[in-house]
Amino acid sequence: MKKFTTYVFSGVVFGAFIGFVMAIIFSALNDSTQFMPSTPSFINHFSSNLQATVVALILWGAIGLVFSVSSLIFKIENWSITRQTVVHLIVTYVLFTPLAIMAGWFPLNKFWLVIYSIIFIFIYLFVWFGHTYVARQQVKNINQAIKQYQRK
Amino acid sequence: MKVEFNISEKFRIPFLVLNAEERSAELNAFAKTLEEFSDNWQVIGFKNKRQFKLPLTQIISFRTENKGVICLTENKQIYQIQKRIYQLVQSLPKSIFVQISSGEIVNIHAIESVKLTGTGIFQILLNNGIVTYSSRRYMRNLKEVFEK
Repeated sequence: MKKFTTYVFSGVVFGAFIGFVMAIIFSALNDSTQFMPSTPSFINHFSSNLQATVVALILWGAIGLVFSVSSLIFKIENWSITRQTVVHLIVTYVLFTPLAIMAGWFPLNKFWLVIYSIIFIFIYLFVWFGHTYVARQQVKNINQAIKQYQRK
Repeated sequence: MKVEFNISEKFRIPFLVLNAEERSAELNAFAKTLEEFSDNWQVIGFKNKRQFKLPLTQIISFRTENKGVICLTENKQIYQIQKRIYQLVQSLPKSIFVQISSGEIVNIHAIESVKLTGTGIFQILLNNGIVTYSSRRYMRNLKEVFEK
């Protein structure tokens, strides 16, 4: 239980920090002289820049929380790598997508959603392949060690 | 009595040899005491409400089952063990028994090979054809044990 609250806390803090740093970078890249928490269309939903920033902060924290807590899925020992990866994909996709849209990170239309989903799936294919590659190397090494041991 | 050490890699499980001129009753008794004394090399197993002293060399694995711990021996017998897995991990010789998952400890001499299934599950194949499962966390342990 203590471990879970650590994940919750660190997730919120990291999410808020990364969201903040990214917002600063985008503000600078867009030649803005003041801090913009997100796109102008996002800010226009609110009565002040401060209000927009507060809401953005909450969203960033929530996004960090989603990724942090969902990483616990990979610690479920008796699940296969494939199962862990698929469940993690579903959980993060369902929770992160609406948060990212609300935070104004990409517009809500079919085109962007499709591109976003394809990229999302590709990333997970990459992660899955990486995991199974490492696992296969581990198995190869252990079998070698076993053969050497048996030969003695 | 003087004690000499005879160290060799082939003696994976240590055993005592009594060198004597003749096998007296006294030496027999002494040997028996020593055998019983090496507590760490035995566990008490329960079957049908009877107690059995099980030499570790004959045990293939310990596993949690229904909130208890059982062990499987070479001659395909199953015994209940009154200890918990974490206690066994602490008291059993680490050079012989390795923890492969949160609920199972296996005798390394019984391990034939390891395999990764298509979906990414670590399978441990034992000598007698039994297949059991390990997890990423314990795979590291496993490798270290065989590299000694």
